[in-house]
Amino acid sequence: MQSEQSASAEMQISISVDGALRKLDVEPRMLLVQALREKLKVTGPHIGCESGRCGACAVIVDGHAVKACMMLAVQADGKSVITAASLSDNKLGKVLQNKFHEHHALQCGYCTPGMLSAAVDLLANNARPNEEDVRQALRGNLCRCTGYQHIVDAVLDAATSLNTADSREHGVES
Amino acid sequence: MSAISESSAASTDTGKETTWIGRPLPRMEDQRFLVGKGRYVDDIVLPNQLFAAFVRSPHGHARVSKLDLSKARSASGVVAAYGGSDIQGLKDVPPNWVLPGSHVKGRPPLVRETVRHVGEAVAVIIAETQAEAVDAAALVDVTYEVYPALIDQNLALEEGAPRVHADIKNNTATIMPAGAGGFDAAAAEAYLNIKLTVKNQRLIPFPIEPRAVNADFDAATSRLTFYSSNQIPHMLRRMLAAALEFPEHKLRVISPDVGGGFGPKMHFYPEELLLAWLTTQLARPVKWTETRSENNVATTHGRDHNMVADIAADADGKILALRVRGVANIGAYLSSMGTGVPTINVALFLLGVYAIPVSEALITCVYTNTTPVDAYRGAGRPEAAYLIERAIDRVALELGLDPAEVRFRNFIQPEQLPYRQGVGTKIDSGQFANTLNLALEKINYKALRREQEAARAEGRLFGVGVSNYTETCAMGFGPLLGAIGFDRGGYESALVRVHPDGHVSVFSGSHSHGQGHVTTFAQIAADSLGITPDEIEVIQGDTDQVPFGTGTFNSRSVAVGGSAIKIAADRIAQKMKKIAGHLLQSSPEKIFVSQGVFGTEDGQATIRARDVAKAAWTGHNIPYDFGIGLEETEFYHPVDMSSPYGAHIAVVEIDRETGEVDLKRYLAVDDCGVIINPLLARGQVHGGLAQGIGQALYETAALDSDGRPTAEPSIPRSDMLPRFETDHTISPSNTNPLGAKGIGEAGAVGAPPAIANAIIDALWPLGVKEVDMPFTPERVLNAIEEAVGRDAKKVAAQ
Amino acid sequence: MIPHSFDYMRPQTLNDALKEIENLTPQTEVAILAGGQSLLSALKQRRINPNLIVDLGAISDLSTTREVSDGLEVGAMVRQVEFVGHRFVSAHAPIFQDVAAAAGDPMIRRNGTLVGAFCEVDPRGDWVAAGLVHDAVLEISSLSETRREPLESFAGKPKESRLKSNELVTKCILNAAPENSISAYRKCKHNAVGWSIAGVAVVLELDKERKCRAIKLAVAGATTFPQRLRALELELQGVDLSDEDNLDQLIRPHLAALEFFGDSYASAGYREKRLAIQIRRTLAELSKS
Repeated sequence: MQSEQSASAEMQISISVDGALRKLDVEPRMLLVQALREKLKVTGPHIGCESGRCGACAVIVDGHAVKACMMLAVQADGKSVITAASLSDNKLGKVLQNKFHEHHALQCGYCTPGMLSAAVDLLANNARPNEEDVRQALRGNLCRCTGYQHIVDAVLDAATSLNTADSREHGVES
Repeated sequence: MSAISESSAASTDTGKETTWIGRPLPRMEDQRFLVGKGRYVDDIVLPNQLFAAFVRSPHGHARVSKLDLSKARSASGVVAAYGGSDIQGLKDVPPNWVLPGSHVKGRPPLVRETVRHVGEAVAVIIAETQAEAVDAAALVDVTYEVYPALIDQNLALEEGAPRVHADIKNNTATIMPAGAGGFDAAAAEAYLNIKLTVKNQRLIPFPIEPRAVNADFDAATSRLTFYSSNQIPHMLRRMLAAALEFPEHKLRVISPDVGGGFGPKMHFYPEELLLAWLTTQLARPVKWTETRSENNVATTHGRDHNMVADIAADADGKILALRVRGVANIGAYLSSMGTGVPTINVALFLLGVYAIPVSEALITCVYTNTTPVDAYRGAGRPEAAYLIERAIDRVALELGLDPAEVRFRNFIQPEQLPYRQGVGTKIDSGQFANTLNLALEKINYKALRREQEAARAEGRLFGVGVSNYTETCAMGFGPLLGAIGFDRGGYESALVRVHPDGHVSVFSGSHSHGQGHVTTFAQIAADSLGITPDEIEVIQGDTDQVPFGTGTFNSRSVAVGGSAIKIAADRIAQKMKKIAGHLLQSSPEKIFVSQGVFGTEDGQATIRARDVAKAAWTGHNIPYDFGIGLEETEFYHPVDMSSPYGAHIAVVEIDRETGEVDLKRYLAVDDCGVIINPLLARGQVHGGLAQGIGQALYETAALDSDGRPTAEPSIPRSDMLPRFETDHTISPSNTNPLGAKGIGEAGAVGAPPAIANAIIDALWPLGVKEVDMPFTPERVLNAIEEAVGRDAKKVAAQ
Repeated sequence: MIPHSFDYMRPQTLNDALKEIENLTPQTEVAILAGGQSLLSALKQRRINPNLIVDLGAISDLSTTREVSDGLEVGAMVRQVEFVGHRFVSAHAPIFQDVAAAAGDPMIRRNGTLVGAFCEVDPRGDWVAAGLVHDAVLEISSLSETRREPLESFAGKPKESRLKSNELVTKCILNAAPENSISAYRKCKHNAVGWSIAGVAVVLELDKERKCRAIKLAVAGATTFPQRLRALELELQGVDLSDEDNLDQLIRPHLAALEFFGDSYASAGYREKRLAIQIRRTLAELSKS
């Protein structure tokens, strides 16, 4: 246990955030979520706990949803991070955002960016989830406002809508 | 009345059917949240920002024998550090709902000498960065002389219990008797007398966004801008100005986007007073963002109310008399509504929706060495509903009668309305039997009871639980609030402004922390003004822009805030019709408006709203005496509060061996009067149900003997809740022009007793009569084993 | 929320990593960062305050998964989700698919590592229980030597004695479940974070009469550390696992000898009861499959 604290030397890292390459200097102890919020002013990912269980900080790193509070910023050096701010550039993200809106899947909005990240990851890996799959996939995202039902409905509807669109694209009878 | 339909047809002054009220419109405010551009307090960093970190006591009861800030003060980036002795001038934060005769102890901004609850702040460090503040806080050298902590309220009342406050006898903050007596006489004549003990356990509310504050004093203008994640911006301003002795007109409170409120964010906190003071001292903005572990101990807890009920009933299950003694834990100090929530809010609803001729209550609020307890979704009504609904079910099961049938026998009948309860409230409306019938039909209650019989034949534990509740929302009437010591107004403010180009701004004293007022209020204004909601912007949360209001709690925003908007907008609509009438050379009564166009009945002459607005804002072509402008302010002051009510049904199956409760179905039928936006209303029901189910099955603050929460609050995850089945009956309220009643808290009120009743119904054949929340597998199993063990002993003894 | 300061190293090779930790002064506390899903919580809550963190993330050798004779070597940096997706798991160690469905959440599993979960030996550790029934062995290296230790003995030691300060766990080796065996991980969930109240990992071989021919059984969530119940395994041989009454009698005495932990949600006593039921039901379920 140390008695004197001195800031460790900062390290320069570069992360692609929402499509833009950003260079920043961070102490090793800075969490990715703090680097995004404080250094880069990307405030979509939120902080809601200290144990890693609430998921409000979830973002997409190199194509997969992860909790940005459970990574050091230095671990994200050279990686690509997508937050809610650029989710609509991705077809899955855009459909999910629309469905969240239609189904009233957000109230205070605090868990929403993280919830969307987890949902995007689910649909990227499982195009036809059932309700149980969706509830399991969102287990790492806590919501205190919605009771989850509208969120689940939104994700299921997004999957259906994407599958229908795909079927049309490939000329398959839906 | 009818079940909800997509659009309701209520007429307004325009003479046409409403277009927007009743529509399940998706929210207009969603965009920023979906793209992560919501603006919560922690997102805001001001120029020259300083950051605060607190040192908090890990002990529930201690004396600070040494506090050495020297290392902290000389740490890198530290600007200042304060302990209790450095802030002599600052008062304790006073509560603002104080029952007459209460013994008041406010919350100290920093511990002076005695720590009285885990999490009480002992020192605050201000530094240039968050990290430096936190690092320096770790260097504070504090020595505690630790004493035993008094956690349980019943123990705190015992003879010889240690005092939480040296000058408060029996640790009693307030005692509230209610009712006119008569229980013993009634009980003596009763067929059935039961004693029922229930505990409403302490909960940690856990909004996903903890609290956050940024206080910014500008020495050049002597203005203080105060950002807080808060439900009540104007109230906070008034309380803060008074506590700080700061001129109120120079204090601006901004509550931007708030990540969940649920009650804890409607209070005035020591950190807020302290940060406001610090910024005036340092002349730089000071920001504090609560961590989750701070939130668990420094933000108010909910519930923690133990009750003993004596119930006297006749052989048909009609309750003749009810006597309740409640002992409420209010924590170490009084938080804002500390004396009012467990007393008045509970007593008003102890009799539920039933006509019980004789009733008595005595509720004691007790100080202990725990985090202060205050309003949390339902604020007293869940405690009351839990008691009366468990009581009714108990009477039914003891007599071998169906619990739904017993409710029908006890309901206040329509012909008895308005009905003044003894302990309790005046119930002036409510079709309780109809609503329960709808619920029973929807869930096919008869089939469920048959299913239960079959299950019992197989030895399975299958239970059905009913709860009815009523509550009071949409406070309230000023003089009444004053009489009960509630130092807040009960009105709500609205300023409606039509701009020269015809667009509309609505400023509301209500404050959305997820409820969707931007959309709901726009729907209301759109109907009054004859335009579309997307032409209306709703602004909340800034005391510089919004006329003095009261805020969002008690499910009041639509009924009171929405009514204020409707009244103001209707006045504007009248004026616009007058102007349009003049410009179209027709009388105002013959003018109609739709889709932003004013026109005569025959549609021959029309004028756009924006042209009407321009005339109003230039004075051109209209008589001088029409006056300039299209802007109306309304302070809507309700005379009566509204009475939403509902019937909920839960179906459970319990694993006999493990005690695990499988919540198979949950149906909520709520009557919240006229529904402005059914989609949003359903969201509120879901959210309330999730919290109610959380209380019933999962959550507890789980304090150890020092008052420390021993575990992370177990709030439900997506895989821990069933699909909710919801429906509404609509009996419009006659207490406000919208006919609305409030729906935000219904789920949290109705769910715990429905689930409790289902579980006890399932276990009744085994001899289980009482179990306490949360109904964890272990508690349920213990109840089963205890009952079976009792039976075995009885058999052995025979 | 903000950890104490620490120095940070991100060696590119295993050898560099081992050199970093070889000659530490006694005052230097090191923490190894692999998946980080346990470490980051501990840092944020300041439960631990290392001066140095060594991040294994750049060491590509540690990210490999390799089938070996009758088993699988899983490098220390192989993430849980990657591991579970490997064909070996569906072919020879399907129990880990059950664990993945039951443990943590998808985002934790995305970053968390199998070896990290093994090293953490959380009493509630679902992965550890599954590893135990696959006779998991840890390969532990220092600059001067490499040794192997069964996960079972590693997990049974007190935390301070598991690794020397100059040692790193570089991989684990899992054996394949026997051909024609049936496996399952069955857990009853703790409400708050999905930790186990009682979890049972079983790899079972049934004989022609569908009685137990051979069995490996490990538990998590209830006892103070996840462990194999070897004495129970022996006693279950030849037993008809569908006879639940008999099973119940058989199981309980074995649990009486173990140490259980409790918390505000479930006491030690309840966990013991619940574990017995979970073992019995899991075995009965498997006997019918």
